[in-house]
Amino acid sequence: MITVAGYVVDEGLAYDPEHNLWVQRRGGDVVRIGYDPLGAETAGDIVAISLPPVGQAIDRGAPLATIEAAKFVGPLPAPVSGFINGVNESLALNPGLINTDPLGSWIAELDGVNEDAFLHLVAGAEAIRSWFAEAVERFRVQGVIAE
Amino acid sequence: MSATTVELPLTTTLGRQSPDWVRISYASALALRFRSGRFTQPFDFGGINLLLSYDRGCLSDCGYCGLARNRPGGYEEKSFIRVDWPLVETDELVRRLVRHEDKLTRLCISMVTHGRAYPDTLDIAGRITSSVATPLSLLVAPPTLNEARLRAFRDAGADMIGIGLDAVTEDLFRALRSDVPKGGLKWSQYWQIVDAARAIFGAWKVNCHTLVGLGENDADLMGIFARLLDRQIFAYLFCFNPEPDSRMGDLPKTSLQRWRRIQLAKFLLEERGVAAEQFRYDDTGALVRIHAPRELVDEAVTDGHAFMTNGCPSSGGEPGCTRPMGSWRPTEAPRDFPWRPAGAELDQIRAVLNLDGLVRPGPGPSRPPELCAPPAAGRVPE
Repeated sequence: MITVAGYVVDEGLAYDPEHNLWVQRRGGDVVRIGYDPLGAETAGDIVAISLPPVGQAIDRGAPLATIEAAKFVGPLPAPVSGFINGVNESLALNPGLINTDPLGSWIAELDGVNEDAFLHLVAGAEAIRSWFAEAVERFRVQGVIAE
Repeated sequence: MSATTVELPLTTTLGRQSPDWVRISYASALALRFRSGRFTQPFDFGGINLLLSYDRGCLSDCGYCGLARNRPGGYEEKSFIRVDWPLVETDELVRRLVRHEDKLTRLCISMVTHGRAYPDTLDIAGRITSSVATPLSLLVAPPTLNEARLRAFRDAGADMIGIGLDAVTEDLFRALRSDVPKGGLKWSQYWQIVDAARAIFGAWKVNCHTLVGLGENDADLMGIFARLLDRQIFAYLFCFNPEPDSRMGDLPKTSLQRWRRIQLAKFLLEERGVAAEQFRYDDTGALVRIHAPRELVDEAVTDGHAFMTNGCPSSGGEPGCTRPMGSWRPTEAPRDFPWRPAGAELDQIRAVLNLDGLVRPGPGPSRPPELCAPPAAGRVPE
């Protein structure tokens, strides 16, 4: 784990820099996907999540899930293409876990993910540190991070 | 409806009470950066709402309210208008008001029914008005007030007074707010404070909150809008949004079509001078016809302001208190828009209104412009 601008980030994960999602390789062509600490915080208090059906094929950029927060609702676009082979049902009962433990709260598991799918993701401690620091600053300028 | 009378448990924030602590709306917490988060659709937001906070909470027990005494849970766990209201230190709040003053449009302190509510509201109002120039409203608790206290509020710098009638008929008020386990609020007392506030603060400086969906009919609503209009008092429209676990938590939300038609009818009455007699109702009091020139109605819809939040104005006359998502979830169509609806939003509004089924030819405005309400709570006319 590394700390960037006050946030704890797992350097062992890859990150979708556009949508603040993390991608964890689980071996073979399987990945798990979740919301990174910055995405979770800037959404506000998450009160509901709709999860995709298992077995569904999903293209990169298509809605993987939809989150509803106190004053915000929006889709989480899939950071990679694949097939949904599992969803974290516990989040449907307790969506606030995404706020309190974003790195421990996987949302969906995909299989059939090609190796090329990772090329646009940010990986490696130095790259993650640089990107994440910029992202935090951008959100601060937007005024969506508490002071 | 019935409820078991219980004493509220003391809260885990024991001792953090007004005037040194105050609750703020979730949207206000975002605007002042007490909390992280964002709105689905970014827009300029500067209407800051505060709520007095006490260990034992509000002493009233209104059937629809999230703060009611008999709603289960500790006070700090209770939502108000369905969302969390963070508890913040008043002096830190004032520092942040100063820091963010350039984007503030309207401030409001909501009293609750409590023995300390009056002196604490006066204290907090003084701290605010001595630090920022943003106009300040007070949403008052009539059981705690009299004329002298209203004058003290005016002298402390508040420029508008709100009274939460919520229920628009005496019978409904009694059923929901008086004859309930810890009720006792009096319709007559609320109107005494309306009268006193009107005399002290002046024309278009007083507003009454009216809720759509508590069991009233459309004729009841339009009747009170006309009564308040004649007295140069604003009626502010709110949509009943059932609070989970409240005594009315299982009741349905007002249908979108009824809500939109009430928004439109109210606007035509108040701001376009259409006479009360031109609105027709069926035997149940439901609005079924508006007799007015179709082009007048179409123009009112296209204008969009009819569907915006009713709230106190900014110092520039624009809508200042916009309460984003105060009566709708982010996943729902906005009930009252905190921005001026346009494009696809207006298309959806027109579809829901079904004007072909509602509007019939009729006379134009009969109320002189000087007797109409100022545009949308003081909005500068274009």
